[in-house]
Amino acid sequence: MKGSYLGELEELVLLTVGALYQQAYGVSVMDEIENQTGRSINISAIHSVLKRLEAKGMVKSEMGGATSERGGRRKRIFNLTSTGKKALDHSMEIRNQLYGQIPKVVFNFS
Amino acid sequence: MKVNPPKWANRFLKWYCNPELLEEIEGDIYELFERKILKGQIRSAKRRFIWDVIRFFRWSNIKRSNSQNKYTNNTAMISNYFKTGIRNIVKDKATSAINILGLALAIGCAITTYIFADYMLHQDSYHSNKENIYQIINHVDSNGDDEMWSDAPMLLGDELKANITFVDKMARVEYGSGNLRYEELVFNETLWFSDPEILEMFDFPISSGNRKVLYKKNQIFLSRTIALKYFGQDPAVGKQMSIKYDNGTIQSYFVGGVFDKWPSRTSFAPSVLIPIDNFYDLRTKELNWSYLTDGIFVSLKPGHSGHELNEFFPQWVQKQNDSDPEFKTNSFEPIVFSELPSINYKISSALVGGGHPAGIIGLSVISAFLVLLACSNYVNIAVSSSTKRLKEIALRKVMGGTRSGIIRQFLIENILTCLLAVLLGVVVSYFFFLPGFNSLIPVEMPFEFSSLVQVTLFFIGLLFFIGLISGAYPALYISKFNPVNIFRGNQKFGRKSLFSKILLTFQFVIAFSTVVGSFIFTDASIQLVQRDWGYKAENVVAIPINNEQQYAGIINELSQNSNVVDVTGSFGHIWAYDKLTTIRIGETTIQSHMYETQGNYDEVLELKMLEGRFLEDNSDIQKAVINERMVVNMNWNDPLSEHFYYDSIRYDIVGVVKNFINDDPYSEAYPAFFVSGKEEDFNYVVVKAKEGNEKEVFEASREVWRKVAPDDPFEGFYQAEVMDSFYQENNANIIIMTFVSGLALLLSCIGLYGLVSFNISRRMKEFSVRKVLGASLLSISKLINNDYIWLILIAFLIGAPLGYIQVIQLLKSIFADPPGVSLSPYILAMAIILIALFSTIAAQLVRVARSNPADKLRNE
Repeated sequence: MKGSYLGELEELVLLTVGALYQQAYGVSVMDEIENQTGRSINISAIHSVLKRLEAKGMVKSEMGGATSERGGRRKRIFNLTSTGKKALDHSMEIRNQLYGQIPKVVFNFS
Repeated sequence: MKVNPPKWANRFLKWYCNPELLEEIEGDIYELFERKILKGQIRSAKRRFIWDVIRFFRWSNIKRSNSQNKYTNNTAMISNYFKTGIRNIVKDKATSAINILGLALAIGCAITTYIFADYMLHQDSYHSNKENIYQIINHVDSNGDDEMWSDAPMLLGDELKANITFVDKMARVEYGSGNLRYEELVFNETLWFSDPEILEMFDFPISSGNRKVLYKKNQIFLSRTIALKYFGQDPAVGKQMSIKYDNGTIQSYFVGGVFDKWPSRTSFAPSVLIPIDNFYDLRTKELNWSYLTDGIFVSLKPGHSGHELNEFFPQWVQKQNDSDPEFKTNSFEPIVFSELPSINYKISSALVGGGHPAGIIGLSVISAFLVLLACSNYVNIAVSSSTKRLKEIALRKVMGGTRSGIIRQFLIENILTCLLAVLLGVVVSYFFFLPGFNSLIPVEMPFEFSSLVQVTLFFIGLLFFIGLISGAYPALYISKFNPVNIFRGNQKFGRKSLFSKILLTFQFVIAFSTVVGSFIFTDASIQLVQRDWGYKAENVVAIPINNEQQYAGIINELSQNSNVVDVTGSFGHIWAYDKLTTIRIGETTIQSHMYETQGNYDEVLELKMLEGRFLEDNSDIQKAVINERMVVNMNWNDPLSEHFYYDSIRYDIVGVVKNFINDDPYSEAYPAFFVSGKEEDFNYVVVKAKEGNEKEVFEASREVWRKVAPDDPFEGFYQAEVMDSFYQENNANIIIMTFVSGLALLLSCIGLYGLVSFNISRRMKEFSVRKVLGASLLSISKLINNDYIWLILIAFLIGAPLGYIQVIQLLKSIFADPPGVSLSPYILAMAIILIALFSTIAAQLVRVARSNPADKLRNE
């Protein structure tokens, strides 16, 4: 199924959205990724990934309340959907499965 | 300190960004920006902001369509602008009238100028073959300068026709003159000797006859005017006429055809067309390459163009150079007929086209100035009148009107006003300016245009140029106001506007300089009219004669006429025939006019003797009378003891006469001398009539003429009328100058009136309070005048010298001997302007004086 395929950055953003529960919007996602992975990504890239994820139905979004920050502009808050959860589970499963298949001898580096 | 992101980047983001995404994107960029600011990295924050804006500029974020309902909204708004515009024009009738009238007057001038330029530059455009007819222009070396001559070697025409296969037709124009006679009627006419093909080449309209008749040598073609003169309404074709040429040959001809009325814009128009073979018959000498005819035209076969002729020319240039070393041809150049009118001023003795472009340029500059004046009026009034509309603007803005919307609104209103002005301008031009202008110039220009496309472009251009020039500043200025300030009532505005003051000063500078200029010019022109001619021309009739028999016959008959006081004869006559000769005085030679007269020539013309005496009949051989100018030029203290040589004969000076005008009053007097003449040489009879009886004498001379010279036309004239054409031109100049300066003054006053009336109505409440508290009218008028008096003074100080300098230059370029400039035109001009200005302001003051302060104050 083509729609469920997740790119590397997409997966990272999707995970972050999940982790930031109710606090996920453009800048916070960008910051979180930078904190966790050290990768600095331009805000515009984050926006387009989020938009893509929403189009695939993996996140849903709504406008948050207005605050005095950002000159009164509202944030668009993203949340994980069940499709998104399934996609994450699926990719996690594949990873675990593959990881489990690695023979122990491979880890013997000494 | 609050730091803002770069404005342009933000505006760029807002411009491209899809409005649905704008809030979140903008929010995120701002958040990042503020975070950097908090860290104190201002420059990096700004850089980052710009970078982010650029990175967000991607396909998914760009707004891709203007939604449908936005369009309908626009149309609704635009129709609303029109409605508001029309309401505003109707509501403020006085201001609108001032605006529209001022613009209309200027536009009327512009349209008239356009018609004039169009008329001049598109002459003779009715010939359907005009793109395929070329005139061969002769580039002549004149003392090292290359001059373009219409005159080209006559033999070139034959060569072109014989040697170049793609030359279709060739026609030469050779001017001549002769006395054309039909039964009793004889007049001297200009003749065109031409190749018969001229009628097939050009589309001259023909009313009778056909285009082939000139192939017969004894047929001639007449213009409608000439045919009417000789035959009235009778058919002319087939009638027999005779021509007496200058060398005395008399030939008879049949009228082969008559042209129709020339279309308007015709400059290339034959009067009497004669087959060129007749010209060859008149020649006694063989034609060679140095004989120049007045013009050569060729038309080419289809598919060929003029530059193909160039390769043939060098051989003929060589032939011309061999035969005439005086005026060597550098080259021949074919110029297409349709272009001739626009370059005709470069060609000496051009056959086709209107005239020098100086007139067109001058009028265009004047019209442009007037349009600018009217525009600055409009700007001033529009800015100050928008005070009334501040609330409307604020409300539009509050309801979501954008600045560009308001600019659009004002421009549309402006163009609407200008449209009315253009329409009125057409009316003004059609009914007043063009007929007025026509009455001053020799030709009659119809209200028509050569090309529909051009004239449409001209009007649309005029409309938008004036609309935008006059509307741009008010629109930009007014739309900038902040609605909150307007509602609070603390919008500072209009009171100290430097811009409007500069505009007003500029207007008055123009008004002052044109008014002062026109007064000096008029003064100089009047001085010219009043200039002493140096002799008495009233009651004098002069008749040119051809031989001694005519002279004797006329003298005999006229001296018995009781209305005649005195009759004299002369070779050469003042103004009519001033023969230029060279005389030798000691070592120097000078040029001088010469008149060989009878002894009573001075009495008939009442020449004023300054020294000595005039000549006496027959006894005064080798004696001469000179004019004042020669005395001055030669620095003689006692001219009566001097002498000079003419034709190696010594002449002793016996008298000095006052200078007399023998050209037009523009030029300065020229050296002249009188010597005793012989009757057989005389070519003029000059008659002095009894006071008031010159008409009888004129008619009597005509009667006598019929008896003594039936073959020659009577060409007598009143000496007093010789300068009428100059006076007409002079008058036309005065009228045009006066009109332009009057218009400039009127426009400036209209502008001032509008501005003052606006300022007064704005300050009406203030004045009312002052009046209630006991202010006198004088103190209020001081308050009003204060604003303007300085402007006017500055404008006068700039404008008056400017006008003076311009006009002195103009006078110097027209007159060789410019009349002195007195102070009176200055004072007059100043007085007129000041009166105009103060009556403009005073008219407004009366409004203040008459108003009841209670009415104004009760309102609120």
